[in-house]
Amino acid sequence: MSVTGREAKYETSPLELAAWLRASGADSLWTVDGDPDLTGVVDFPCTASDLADELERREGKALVLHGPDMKFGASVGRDEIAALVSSDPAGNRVLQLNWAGSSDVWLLIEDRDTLIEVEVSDNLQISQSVDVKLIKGGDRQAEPEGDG
Amino acid sequence: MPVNVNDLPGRIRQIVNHVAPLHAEADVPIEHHRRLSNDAWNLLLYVRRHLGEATTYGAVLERHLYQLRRMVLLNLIEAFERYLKELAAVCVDHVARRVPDDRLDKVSKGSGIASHFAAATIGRAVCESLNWLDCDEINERFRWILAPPYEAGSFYVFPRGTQQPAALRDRLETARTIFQLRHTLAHNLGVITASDALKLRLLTRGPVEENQLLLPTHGDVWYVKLWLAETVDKVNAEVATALADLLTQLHGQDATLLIPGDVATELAQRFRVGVTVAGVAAAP
Repeated sequence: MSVTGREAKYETSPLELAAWLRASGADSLWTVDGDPDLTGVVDFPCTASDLADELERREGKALVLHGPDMKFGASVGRDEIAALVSSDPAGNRVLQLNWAGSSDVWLLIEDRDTLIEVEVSDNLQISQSVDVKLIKGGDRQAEPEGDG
Repeated sequence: MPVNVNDLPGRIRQIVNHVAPLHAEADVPIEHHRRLSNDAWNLLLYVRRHLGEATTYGAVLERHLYQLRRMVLLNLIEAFERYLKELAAVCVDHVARRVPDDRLDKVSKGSGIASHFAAATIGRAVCESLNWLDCDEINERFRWILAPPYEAGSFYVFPRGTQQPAALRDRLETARTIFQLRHTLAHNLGVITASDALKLRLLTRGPVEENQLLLPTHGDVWYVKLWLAETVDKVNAEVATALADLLTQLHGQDATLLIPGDVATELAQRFRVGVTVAGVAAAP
């Protein structure tokens, strides 16, 4: 996927993106489609808070791509990001992004289907019953030794 | 009137040239696995998001979604096989030139290494030609690869009973069930044959009807993805530690075999976990 050139680009930081994500609901599920870096280090879908943790480790600038009708300046913060969110036909929140300096466009997409299906089929709250954890390289703790 | 396309054999031969370079993370097995399984998952979500709300031809859509889930489930399991293969190759690359025994013969059992001499590394040459879909074979190969010189080794990816490592002891039964599901999906297009049903009954200890078509739900696919991700994470950490321990032992026997700092750094990068080789620690 590549930038079409028709979208306006609003610059933001991974920190602002993470803050917006946290505000969107810590237990909502999200996936990233198209960013080879994030899809290599995070198992999706993951919770908003787990993805925010990973974004907060990132440097550089993210560009939010959106139709040219917004009145914002070139840079946006967490509050303006909410206005750049669109919805897919199923009602999931979607942001179209690319990292500054990269031509790869990627999507940050809410995954309500998975959340709903699991809650309906198991009658469980995901945050309480399913261990949806971010698997990060390099900073995991050693597993405690088993009983054998 | 039949559709007539000229030179079908030639067009089919051309398929092998419709390719793209491997992703950079293919050198890091755990990242390659995540990328492959996330891509498979995103395919499912993409179709479901954009077609799932359609109200026309609902029955047809549902049938296609089941077919898609079967394909994604298969992709997830094959990404796991790919992971085990790449992981074994990394281990072989670090061990092969530092041990004098015949462990590579035991791993490959002569299955076509010669045809892989053009592979980038000895590890790929040994491991690419093998299937990694049978828990007993996987156990045996990793046991040999990670064994001290001239010993049979004690590392099992899917240990049973008191076998090591303890952290992986709860994986065997589910892995076998998943590999059996893969067999059903890959070889019988999702039809549970009488033979499949018998094996699945034994593995799941519950009723499994034969001559039925597997209809995985969205949740089913996700549960497999979660379990495989968790397993890959655990296996990755345990294999990294076992390999670092073996290289430490080899260094203790002959200090000229490796430079601990260099090897520790390389292992930390390839496994994306912290490791210690001969007292030298490295972080990814």
